[in-house]
Amino acid sequence: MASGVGVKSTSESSPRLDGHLHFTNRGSRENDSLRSHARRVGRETEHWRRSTRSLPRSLHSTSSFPQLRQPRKTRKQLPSQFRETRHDLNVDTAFVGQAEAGDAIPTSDTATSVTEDKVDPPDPLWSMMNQQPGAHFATAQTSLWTPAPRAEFGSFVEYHQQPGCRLLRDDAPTLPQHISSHLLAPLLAHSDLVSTALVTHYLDELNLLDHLDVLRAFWLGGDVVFLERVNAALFGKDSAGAGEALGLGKRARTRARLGLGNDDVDNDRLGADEKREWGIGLGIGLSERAKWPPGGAELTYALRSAMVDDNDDDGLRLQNSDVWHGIEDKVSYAIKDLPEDRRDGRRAKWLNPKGELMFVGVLYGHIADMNSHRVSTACMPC
Amino acid sequence: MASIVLNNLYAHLLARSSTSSLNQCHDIPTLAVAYILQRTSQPLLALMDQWVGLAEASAADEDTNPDAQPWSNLGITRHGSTPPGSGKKQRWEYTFSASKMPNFVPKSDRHTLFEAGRSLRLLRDASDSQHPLCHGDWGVHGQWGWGEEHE
Repeated sequence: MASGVGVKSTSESSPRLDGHLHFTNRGSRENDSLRSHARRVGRETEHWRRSTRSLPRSLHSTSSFPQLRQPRKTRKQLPSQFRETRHDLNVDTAFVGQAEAGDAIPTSDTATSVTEDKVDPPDPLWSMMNQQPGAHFATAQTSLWTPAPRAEFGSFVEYHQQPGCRLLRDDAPTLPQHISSHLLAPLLAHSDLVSTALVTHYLDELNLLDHLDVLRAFWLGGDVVFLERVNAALFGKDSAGAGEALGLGKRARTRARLGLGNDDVDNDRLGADEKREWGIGLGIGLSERAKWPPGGAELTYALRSAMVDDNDDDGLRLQNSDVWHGIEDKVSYAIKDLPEDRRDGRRAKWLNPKGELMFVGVLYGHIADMNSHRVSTACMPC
Repeated sequence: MASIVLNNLYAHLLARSSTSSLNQCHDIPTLAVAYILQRTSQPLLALMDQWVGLAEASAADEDTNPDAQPWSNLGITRHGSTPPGSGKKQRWEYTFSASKMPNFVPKSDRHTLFEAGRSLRLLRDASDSQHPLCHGDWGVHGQWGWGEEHE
């Protein structure tokens, strides 16, 4: 007997008792239910992923969650008085004397003249309206009353006191084992699915690894070509950096780069206490500035040129990923605001041309996609 | 308070099931404790289903009252990370106190369940609640499932 001796069906007045309707081999059946649950989750997830890749975000929908869909437009029902009028016009003589759903409002005459319909069964709604008050309780499928807890407890005890019926099962002879293998098994199985889905979503849909590659390339020196261009733009190297004054010989550039400003025209105009010492090793374009830290279009152009390179054949740029497309617009430079600090604090370091280039930071502007996912933009000093 | 009652019931049932013979497991006091534990733990199990995503939990998650703690019976407290009046959607940070979870949940599984709920809410934020796992109900619930078929 599939349902087992002593098992109560759901149609009875007493509610289903937990544990009473489970069959033998419940362990294997539970495993099967968990496996089917996992398969169902996998199918739903795969369907959703396919739909997100093929449709715009505004049209996302899955077949299993109709509440996410746009509600189907349904034609409004005509008011009852109009339906009655129309139905009266189209009334068939076979339906005369019967209280139907589309018929006229039931009157005392029609209510007492309900007859058996040999053509169509009476509408259950209007049939119920014609019954005596309270008569519908006898035909209700669900009982309004629940059994007393004592009765439920009595049936629980009666069932488990039967010979051969044990409180704990053979596959879980101890209570902790029973809890782990039966009570918490669905929860733990679903927990694994959730954790896996989260990792998969970040790796596949959000391309987390590509973002990490970008950070590695531009912040940790992973892109050697980019690193060399930045060095060339900031420190000049063998050739004049961007913004460098043209016409200077190699010796003059070297002297300027080393901070030997004897040939600096601006310094010649200044007094002894006003002569500035520019940073050593900086590109000429950054050294010949009236203020520090330098700013403006010269610096921006120098750094921008390090980012954009039409002849770049680096493998990183050739990656076919949404993250890398237009990377030049996502990675940019930012001039950080000077902090309010003490004379010897961080502000003082910024104002020292011989110090670090702390006023410039590289900004990863992938805010629109990742902001909702709590990934803050990385702004690191050069 | 609920966890105290459940802890006591579980302790009694554990003691009886561990020390009694097979025949004594069928006595009425043991069955009574098992029945009461089963009934009194149903709200907590329902709450746990909502936390991990087996049941719909929109009522609890969408409650923006900063003082509301819908998951306190699981030992989970939340506090808002979005400043009030900022106009942004409230985000919650969850902290877990494993000792407040009922004793019948093994210690090794408590953090697993907590992290699953946090992962679910992070997945909800990351996918704009579009991921299938962000919606309950899956028809699978934790149940005690006492006994076997009568032979």
